[in-house]
Amino acid sequence: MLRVQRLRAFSSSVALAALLSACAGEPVPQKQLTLAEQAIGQADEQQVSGSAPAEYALAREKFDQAKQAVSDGRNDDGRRLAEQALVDANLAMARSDAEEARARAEELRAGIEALRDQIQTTPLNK
Amino acid sequence: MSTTYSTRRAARLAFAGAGIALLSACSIPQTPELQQAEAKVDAAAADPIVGARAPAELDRATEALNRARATSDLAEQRNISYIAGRRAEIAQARADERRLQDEAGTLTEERRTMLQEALENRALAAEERARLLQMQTEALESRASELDAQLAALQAEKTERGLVMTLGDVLFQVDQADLTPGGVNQLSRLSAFLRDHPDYTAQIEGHTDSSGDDAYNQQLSERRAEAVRQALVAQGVDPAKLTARGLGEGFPIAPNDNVAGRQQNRRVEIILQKEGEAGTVAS
Repeated sequence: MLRVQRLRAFSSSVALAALLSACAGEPVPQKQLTLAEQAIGQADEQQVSGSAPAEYALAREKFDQAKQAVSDGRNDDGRRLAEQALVDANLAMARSDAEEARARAEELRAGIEALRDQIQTTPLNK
Repeated sequence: MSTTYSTRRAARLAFAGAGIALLSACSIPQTPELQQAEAKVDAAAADPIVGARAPAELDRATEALNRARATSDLAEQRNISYIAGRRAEIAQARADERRLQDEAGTLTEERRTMLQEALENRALAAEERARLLQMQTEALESRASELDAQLAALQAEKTERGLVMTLGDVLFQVDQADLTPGGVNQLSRLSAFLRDHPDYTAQIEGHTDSSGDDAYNQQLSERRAEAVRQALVAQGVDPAKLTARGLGEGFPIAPNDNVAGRQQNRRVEIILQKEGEAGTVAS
């Protein structure tokens, strides 16, 4: 009986320890910070700040906050912010690319309209 | 012993209480962030364009959403939900981009086809123009050869003064300015030519041989030239196209010392000139 109780007490403490360790201090989220920084750098190269300014600004802001959190010792906050900065930067690039594709399609459409007009209005003997 | 036991018991209870508290925190909560993420991922998944053009991106969004659902930590659930929602938006943007790229490809192809068709149409039009030009050239050539034939019928000679048609002495009454029927007949071909070719003018010049009085010869040459002019006007030739003058005996074309030569010298010459191509006029 006593052994069973001991075992129970032990297993409870193991479970508790496991749970506590999950919530306890994390290491510095170096990988997440690097990934976020790379994505923002890529977004800079693509010059997305013009076509997706809100997403881009958010990514930068969260990256700065992530660095601040890490330097304050709040590594878990820092990791989450870095992870969010990464998806924000990725979204900024995706939206910028989509915008570019839209502009290109519009340009082509306008070009075709102009061409059609030209073909219809220009006499064939020109 | 009993003290130890009760202490142990208390400790065990404390452990259990803490455990329950922690476990209740872990029992799959539903944050508003998770609900928003679900809405975004569901919307992306329901869009057939996303399914067709950004399936990998959609999978990543779904994967994050499942992770968010399974996460008991509230802060972590909010974080992963945010990521899931953003990934859904990324999938939508990428799908848009790819659809527009395909559209651009189609438009480029359309443009190419249009240009090609336009060029082909132009080529056909150019062929048609060339054919027309060929027909016009042929018509002009046939007109030119017709002109040559007409001029040959007039027995006009090409000289440096222009086309010269000579009406011989036999086409006039002897020593008279009146034309014989043969002369009128020959003039009718000339008047027909001048009516058909308004771009030609005719300069009529009368000549005599050297026998007889100079003044008489001058007068006879003038009268004969004038008779020809009048005959042409009577046959419908525009008088403005005609000039007539007598040149007397001054321009023989044969020796005047025999009958045949003198007969050749008695003549009316009609010089045909195309307007703008004035030949050298004898003075």
